[in-house]
Amino acid sequence: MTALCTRLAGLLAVALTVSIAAEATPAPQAPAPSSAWSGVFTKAQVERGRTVYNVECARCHGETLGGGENSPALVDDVFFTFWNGKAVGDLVEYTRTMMPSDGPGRITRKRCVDLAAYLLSANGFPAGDTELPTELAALTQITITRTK
Amino acid sequence: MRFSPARVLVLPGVLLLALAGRVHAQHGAANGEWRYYGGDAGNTKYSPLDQIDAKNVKELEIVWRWKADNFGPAPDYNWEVTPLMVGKVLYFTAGSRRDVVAVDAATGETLWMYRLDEGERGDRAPRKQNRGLAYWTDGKDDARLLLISPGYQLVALDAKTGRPVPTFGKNGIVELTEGLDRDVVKPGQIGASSPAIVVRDVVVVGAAMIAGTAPPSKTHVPGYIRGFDVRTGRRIWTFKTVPRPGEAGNETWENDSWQYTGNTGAWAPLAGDEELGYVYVPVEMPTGDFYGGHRLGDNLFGDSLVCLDAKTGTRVWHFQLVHHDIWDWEPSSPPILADITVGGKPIKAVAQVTKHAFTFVFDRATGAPVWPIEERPVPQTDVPGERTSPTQPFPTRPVPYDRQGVTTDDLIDFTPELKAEAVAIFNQYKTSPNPFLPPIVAGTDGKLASLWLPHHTGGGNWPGGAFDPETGIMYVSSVTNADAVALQKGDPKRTDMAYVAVLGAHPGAPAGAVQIAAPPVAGESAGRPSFGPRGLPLVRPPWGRITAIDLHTGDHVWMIANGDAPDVVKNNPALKGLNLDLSKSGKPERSPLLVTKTLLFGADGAGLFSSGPGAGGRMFRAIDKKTGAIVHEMALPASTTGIPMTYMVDDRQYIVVAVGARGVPAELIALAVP
Repeated sequence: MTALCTRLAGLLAVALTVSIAAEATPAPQAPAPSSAWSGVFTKAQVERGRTVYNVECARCHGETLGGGENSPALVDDVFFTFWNGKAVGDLVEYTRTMMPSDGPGRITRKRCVDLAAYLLSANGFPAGDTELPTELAALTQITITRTK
Repeated sequence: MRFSPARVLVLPGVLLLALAGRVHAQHGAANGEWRYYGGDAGNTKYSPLDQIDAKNVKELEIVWRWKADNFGPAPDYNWEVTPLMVGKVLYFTAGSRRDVVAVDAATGETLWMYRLDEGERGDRAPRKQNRGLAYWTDGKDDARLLLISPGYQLVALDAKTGRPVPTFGKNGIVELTEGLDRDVVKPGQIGASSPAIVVRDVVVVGAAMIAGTAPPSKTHVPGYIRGFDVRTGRRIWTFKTVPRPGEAGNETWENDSWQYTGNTGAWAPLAGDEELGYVYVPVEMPTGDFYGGHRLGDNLFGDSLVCLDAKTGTRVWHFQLVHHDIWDWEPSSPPILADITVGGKPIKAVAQVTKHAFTFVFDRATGAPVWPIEERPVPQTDVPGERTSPTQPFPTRPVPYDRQGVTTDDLIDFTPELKAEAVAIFNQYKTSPNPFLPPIVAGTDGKLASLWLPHHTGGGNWPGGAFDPETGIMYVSSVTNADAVALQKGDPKRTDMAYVAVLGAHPGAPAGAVQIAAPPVAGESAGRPSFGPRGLPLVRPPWGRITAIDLHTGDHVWMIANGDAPDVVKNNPALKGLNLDLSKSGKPERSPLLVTKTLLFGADGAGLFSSGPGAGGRMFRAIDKKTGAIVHEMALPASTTGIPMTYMVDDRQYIVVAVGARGVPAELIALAVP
């Protein structure tokens, strides 16, 4: 792991700890852990996420999620470098609190959840019959892995 | 000159018109106003005002602020605007919807605003940043503002009321997506980020698209340059930047690639010479920023400075600055018109500064280079399907204003250990002392990527330079920031391109230089981490600079750093206890520049786009034009995001500049002395 990677991991860890700690109120029922490979979003949610992406993200991350002048790709190796082993809740909160990078915080959690569905779909995860929930406690129980 | 409004008011109307006729593009902003985005049609960003000078500049204070928070559906943080000032009124665009606003130039009071809700085409605009407007008047009662909307419509507004001019286009609006040789133009495919320019009563419009790092297709919309009648909105001419069969330059598109290739817009501000009747267009590169295998050939008029007759659109001359561009080194700075004397010979010149740190200078009437420009051999590609030009143009004068190419001599060397780490990182990349190193396929010969300095966003970029017509000195701002670019095969699910680029990230070794935004901290810049040793920049400082170049001789006069080192460097643990002097290391951002009779003004810059780690900052500076010495610096409420402008109202000189930062919504700041 390079120094940069360590630094990035540190930044992510700090951000995620902060965001998760903020939500650390006791949940009535702990959702069961699941995998992002188990059909955790719907096609309709992907389409909503695509709309959000085209308006909020495509200018920097590219029309095909392949990255832009100063913005990383959001698919394949780069995506899994950041998100392999992390929870969908991490992805949602990172997006909500960090993006767009010049003025973060204006995309609601629900729209970030739809965005996450779009990103997961673009990275090969299958759609299912139920939508991704908007509750962070539930989202943090869904793990992203590169392989099933 | 100290401008006195009263003196002009008593002039007979005829004399006023005569005066207006003598206001040549290259002479700076006239009559205490600022009628063009770049000060004048020649983008000099020069004003002869002198009330604010070296003696009193220390008294500069904020006299009003205009906040843009609630213009557009979400606050704008990176407001690249430069207002116009005509007749005591400032005109500018504000917010991601590009609302047009008029405010009192002395007080900042809002006079009117115009808002166009474009629906999906506006929401999906490829570029939402806004730089401003064009102004036109018939010299009598008709005064208009020309807006290019985010969704790519041309709007003419009555400057007095802000209402659309009903006789222009359809109720004041002209559809710009028509006439582009494509059956369908989808929302988001084409837009603009810079204002139009009006030359000889013709509105000339450029275009901007989403960056082509990993485009969805080799097929795109061409960003043709168009001229419209400023009175009626009628399209008078189209200059096809990708020429059709039978047109000059079509032969530079092999395998009929002219049929589908797009881009080749002009997203940087244009320049115009009212006297010659010419418009100067910096044409961007064709589709696919880093892979040109689907468009073999030189690709005229991509990456060219093109001179057009403003009345007819006829090409007068052109010069291609980069052949078959696969570096994203299109001309991104506004052409600067400069009347110079070289070897005793007066020349009406145009200077084009570039991302790759060259200054190309031409006779703007003929296109003849002022100093020889040599075609020199450059490294060649080994990417399947690609073919690079055997040579590229190298101006012999002026010498480059920033470093070109990378060797181990360029690497950070604060300590032997840091240098060794930098060399180890450097060795992971394919490198060359020649700037024209083509991108490699990631992993070729064990290398992660090609390492570029300047990289794809420059060097120079849209802030460009400023020119003092009295001294012939041009000032240019640039950054020194290496970056890595590699290619990978296009995924057929996402693109029909054989190869697309990955910036910094590489299959199999993605962590080496992956780009990611730093955590958001309100008020601080959004620079991304470096991939040099221990999070430091890979190359030595200065990381941002201002260079003064004498355009009479081509000589560099001075170079200064753009302030001190960024905090991300100053606070780096690896430098603790080294007692380094980082006061002249420079913020890795392009200083916006304004030049007046008395001073050069610069600033840390925005740090929000196309800039290096730790870029941007709040400092605004007055600089001695002759020496580069800092006369005065002051912190503004946030980073300067636009180019400053200046004007005189009621015998008081104002400087107005847009500021903002990550989490700090944009506003205009007006400065004056008490």
